[in-house]
Amino acid sequence: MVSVFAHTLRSHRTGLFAVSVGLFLMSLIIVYTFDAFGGLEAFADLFESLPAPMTAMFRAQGGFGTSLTSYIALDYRHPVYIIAGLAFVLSVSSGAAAREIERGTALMLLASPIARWRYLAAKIGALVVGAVVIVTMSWLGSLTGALLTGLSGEVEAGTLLLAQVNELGVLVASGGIAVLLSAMNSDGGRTVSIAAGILTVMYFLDFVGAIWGPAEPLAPLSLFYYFDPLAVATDGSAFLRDVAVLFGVGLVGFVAALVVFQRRDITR
Amino acid sequence: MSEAGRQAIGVSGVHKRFGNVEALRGVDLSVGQGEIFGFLGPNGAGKTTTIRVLTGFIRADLGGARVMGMDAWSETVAIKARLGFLPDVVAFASGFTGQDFLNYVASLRGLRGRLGRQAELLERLELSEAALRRKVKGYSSGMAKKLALVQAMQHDPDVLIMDEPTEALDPLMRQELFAIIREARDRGGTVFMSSHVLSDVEEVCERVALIREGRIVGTGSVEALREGKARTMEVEFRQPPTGGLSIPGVEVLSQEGTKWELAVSGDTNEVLRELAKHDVADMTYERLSLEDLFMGFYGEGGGRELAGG
Repeated sequence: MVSVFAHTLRSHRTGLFAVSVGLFLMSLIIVYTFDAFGGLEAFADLFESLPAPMTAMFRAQGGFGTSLTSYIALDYRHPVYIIAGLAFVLSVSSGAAAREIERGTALMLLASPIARWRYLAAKIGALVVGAVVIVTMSWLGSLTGALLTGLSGEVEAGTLLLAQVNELGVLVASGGIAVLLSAMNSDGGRTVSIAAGILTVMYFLDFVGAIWGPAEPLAPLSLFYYFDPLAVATDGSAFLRDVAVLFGVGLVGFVAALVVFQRRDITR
Repeated sequence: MSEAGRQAIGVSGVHKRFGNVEALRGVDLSVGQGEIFGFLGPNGAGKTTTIRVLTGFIRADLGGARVMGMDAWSETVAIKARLGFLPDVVAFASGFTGQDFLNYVASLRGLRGRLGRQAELLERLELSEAALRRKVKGYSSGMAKKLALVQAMQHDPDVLIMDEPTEALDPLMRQELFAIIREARDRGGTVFMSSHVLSDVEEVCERVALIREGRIVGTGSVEALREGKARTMEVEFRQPPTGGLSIPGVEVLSQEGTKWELAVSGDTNEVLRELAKHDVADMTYERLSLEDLFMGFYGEGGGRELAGG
């Protein structure tokens, strides 16, 4: 179990390093952009000068921050954060079962006296640890940026940490879905395609639900509906519900994946 | 010890269907402890599916398989603690060196450090220290097969199941592998191997089973399988028999001048006594190879099942 966990992390270390460092730098730069624009008042002026439809679209995607903390938290929902984190999650998930079966590497490894579910559980553990590293580095990037710009007094580190826990929930929930698909399939590419397709549909469901009234009831079907770091930074009322849903989806996905992988035939 | 107690591998009425394809249609097999058993069949006959049922990768729809007395599906973890497995597809996860891979596989078995048996196998299969330090993705197919063989045998398994073990090995390595297999048998181990190389199976296996279209069509020692099968005899007469040959169990396949080709399925002594009545210049009488048997089962004119097979 420990060997599988360590090997999985080792084999994804380059991707994990690239995503973690990239998001650390992005978080750091975001603080600099806040300073460079001239703070909250300058941002408010900028947004007021935009055409009304565009302002409405921004509001639909989370609105505007009213403090440095909320400004940073809002940017955690930037597509770069989501895509980079999900790229790591989908890579590890597809490799957890489907790609190993596709390439035939699973045969010699699963000939060892380890229950299949334990083998997959070790890989899920590596995925979760990798996701924790990614969100931690993003958080540390924000704190470092605040420190370097002399704005650390304006940043609520605990609030940003909760916002990153919310993002971790998205990564775990996405991982749950992707690992389940991986456990059911024997083709890594197909697994990534289906998982990416599902997440893309969910992303747009959330977006459309926010800007178009008739689609609003569909938004809760999306994982991204429960990812609202700005809300975490402003009132935090839905935080517990959001993380419960996201980690719950992840847990159900992981458990289902363990059951499926234990019982399925290993064929290409 | 009872007969059942000596059985290392038992397959009973195993059926397996993949969609519309019925891969196994009631496979029955029995392999005794300490036996080297060959499993033969053309592509798509069901060899690999049977092996994957035995190794717990595939669950039978009907029937069951037991290895060392344990159920191949529900007790697969306990079986694998005593099993060595070489799959038909030898593929390694990227990033491993040869030594890393062997250590990783050993660690999955709860074994640490370089195993004594591993060192011996590496030496005998000529995998050098330098080769082990290289990434496996740069390995030739022969080196990859040797590494896979080492991982299958480094923990001294009681039962060794190998799918096409000699593929990609040169003749010298095949002989070394056969020696290793025989030594494993001498220590009480059981070896179950499939192969397309019939001469290899003939050389090392004590018993064989032949599978066709998901059914076992013959099981027994190679000698037993030969029984009742026609062998070809070529006879060159100085003076061919004018009235032809009329010998029970002998069919004249061809006649080209003084050279006659006969199919002999009866008593050889009877044939020799009859031929001695004529002026024979030369004669060849070849032992029926496993390939001949194989073709008899699967090639043109095939499709015959052995009684009780």
